[in-house]
Amino acid sequence: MEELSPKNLQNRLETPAVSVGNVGQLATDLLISTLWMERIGYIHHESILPLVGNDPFAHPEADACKVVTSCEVYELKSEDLVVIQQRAPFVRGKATSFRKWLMSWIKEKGFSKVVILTSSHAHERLDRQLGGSQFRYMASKEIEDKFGERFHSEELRWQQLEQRISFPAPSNPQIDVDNSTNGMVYLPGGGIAKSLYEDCLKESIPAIVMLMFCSEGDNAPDALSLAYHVNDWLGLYDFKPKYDVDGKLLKPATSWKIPVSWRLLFGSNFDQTLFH
Amino acid sequence: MATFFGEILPVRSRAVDDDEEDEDYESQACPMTVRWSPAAKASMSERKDQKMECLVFVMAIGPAATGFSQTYITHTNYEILGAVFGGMNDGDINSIQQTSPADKCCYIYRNKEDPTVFVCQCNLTVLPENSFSFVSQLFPCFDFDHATISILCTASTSEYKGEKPISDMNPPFLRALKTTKVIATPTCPYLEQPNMISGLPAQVMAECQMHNIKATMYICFADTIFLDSLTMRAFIPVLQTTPIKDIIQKNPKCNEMMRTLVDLHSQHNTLYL
Repeated sequence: MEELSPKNLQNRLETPAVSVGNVGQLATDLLISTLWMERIGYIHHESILPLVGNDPFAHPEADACKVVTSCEVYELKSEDLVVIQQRAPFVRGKATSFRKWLMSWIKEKGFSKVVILTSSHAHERLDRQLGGSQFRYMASKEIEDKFGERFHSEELRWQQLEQRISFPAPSNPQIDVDNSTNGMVYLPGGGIAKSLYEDCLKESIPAIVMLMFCSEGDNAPDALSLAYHVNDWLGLYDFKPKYDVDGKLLKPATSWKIPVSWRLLFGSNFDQTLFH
Repeated sequence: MATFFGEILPVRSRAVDDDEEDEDYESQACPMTVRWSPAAKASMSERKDQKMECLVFVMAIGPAATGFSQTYITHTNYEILGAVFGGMNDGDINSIQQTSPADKCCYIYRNKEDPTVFVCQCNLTVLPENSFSFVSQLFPCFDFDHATISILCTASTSEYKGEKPISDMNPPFLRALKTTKVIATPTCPYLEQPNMISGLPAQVMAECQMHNIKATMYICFADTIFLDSLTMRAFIPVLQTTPIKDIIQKNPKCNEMMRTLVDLHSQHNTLYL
């Protein structure tokens, strides 16, 4: 249940999949926080575990209360961007039910494209995925036709997710498939990303999966990298400094606005006197 | 993942479990059921929408919150109107007089003098997976349009994250969250990020926020796993807040009642048989 502004067929949807290291969700946090996105609704579904907390995007010194729930919808009207943020995992066995509901919601709202942010287990990488950029993407034909040249340009140099002939064990490297259509998509640890992407293809909705290979740990750097890739493509925010004609600095160089919910990743500060 | 000693260990993600996608997996969620007394059904049938009008609703979740509620709120003038059932295991016991610490029940009380005042005391172990069902069964029975809801629950200090170490926080301590519709400031500090509440209290609070109902949640962070009077007493500042301050009567036996509750639970709190 949510209320979107009158159906805007230009609207793009970005949604994270709950995946290894929560990278998609963390990257979504960065987008919402930096772009000052407005919360426009909640997703209330029996498949998502309950969660409440204070405003994750508040100023660190703020002393106010704005309750956040387990799954919310944000909007940036100026960029025709709608974003879902999911903060709690699925009830075991109910992820499929949510995915089916989400698909029907995507069709109802008529989004022009769906961007799915996710991650995949680093320990399942092929040999040639071990080095170089840990970012991969997988796009539907419409998106590849429209943006493929830009993706492969010198500026972006994105790599498509390599397909596999067999999994989980990788096949003989000599017969590994590169970007052939004979391979299959293998996205371990990616949550519902692969299934949602395939559902979008079936419904002829342009979709793209953007992912990072990672392991569980402090995944903030992975999230930052993924957010940069999203921004490099969609051009949502300009981090570069701005100068006027006289060379005077108008706006300094900026970076992603880290939400206050990212604090204290390793727990409370400890009592220093323990280690005298 | 290979370890230093060369053995291969399975790698589990804290966020996602690839086995989850197995469509044959039977969900652990089990539906909750609400049962109402004849008096409650009579009240519901008085209205076209079959709901009971509610102006004050107190939801106490867990032994400390329910112990506090029993001692300070429902000690006099309340009748049992209904109960929520579900999630019981084979080993769970329920005694008629509710004198066993293993008694797990969730009763809904109504004030005999003011039928718009309700208190739900939940000692059931409601799994997060069952919270949606719990709230979906309970909330539609009430008209909350003009209600003010107070949710009381506990959490462990081991889950609390703050700038100061826990040893400096002097547990038990209270924190609060409120929905957008509440204008007043709670009697204790707001729950700071990055702390979160999950489970049944979160489901109730989320429901209130989404449906624009006035609700304030008071969370008592305690460092004991056993019920003690200090934890129950930590909720006392809540007695000064709206709407609870308008519905309570002094209980001259409050200390005695608390001692009984603590004794009831302490019989099973020993490490040795």
